[in-house]
Amino acid sequence: MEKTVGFARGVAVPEYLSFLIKSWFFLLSSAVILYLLLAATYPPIHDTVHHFRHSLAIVPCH
Amino acid sequence: MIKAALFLWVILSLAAADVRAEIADIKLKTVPELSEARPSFEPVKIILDLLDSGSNPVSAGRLRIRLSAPAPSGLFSTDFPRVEGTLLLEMTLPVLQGRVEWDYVFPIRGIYRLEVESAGEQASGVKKVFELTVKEQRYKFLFLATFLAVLFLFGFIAGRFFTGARRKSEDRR
Repeated sequence: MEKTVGFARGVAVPEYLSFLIKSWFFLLSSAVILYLLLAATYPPIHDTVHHFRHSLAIVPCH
Repeated sequence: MIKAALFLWVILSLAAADVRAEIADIKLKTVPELSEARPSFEPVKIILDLLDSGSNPVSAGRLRIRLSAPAPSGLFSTDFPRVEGTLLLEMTLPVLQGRVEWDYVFPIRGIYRLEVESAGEQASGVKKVFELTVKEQRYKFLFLATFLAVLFLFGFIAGRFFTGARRKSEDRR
């Protein structure tokens, strides 16, 4: 029988599915944060992290 | 009368010698030294000494100058990729006391190409190309290494966290 784990309040899913959802959520949020930090061109974001990008030597800023 | 003529002759001879003085060699110097120069930091004084065939400073003339930015490298960009491979300066400057100088802040790391050519009436067609190597600021590579280490550590901890439950259940078996 497939082992289930508590995924959310009142929701139980198979362990492999819980791992899959959590890890995909983690990878997706990491990618979004890295994109905002290193590559987003939206002016308020760019202006906030401008010095950070320039201080990393290989991250193109403009 | 003779003295006046002699004086005039000496003056005209000097002037003629001056006009004939042509640029034979161009020497480059920077303050501070290029090994100490860093991009987007402090201005570097670029000094070009113009010498005639007798290694004396050329008294007058003009110099055409073109400065090109480093070409883009295939693997890693600089922090200012829009500048890479572009023409940064194109100007003609007068020679003052055998010297042409100006201050410049290099925008990115890499090898700049400085083309210098004599221009104007006294132009003798002397052309020289200098390659100026500007190194990156050291603290940027330290920041990059720290950032990559933090990312790696974060990934490692996340991996341990997500596989923790599975490892525990396997240990119980």
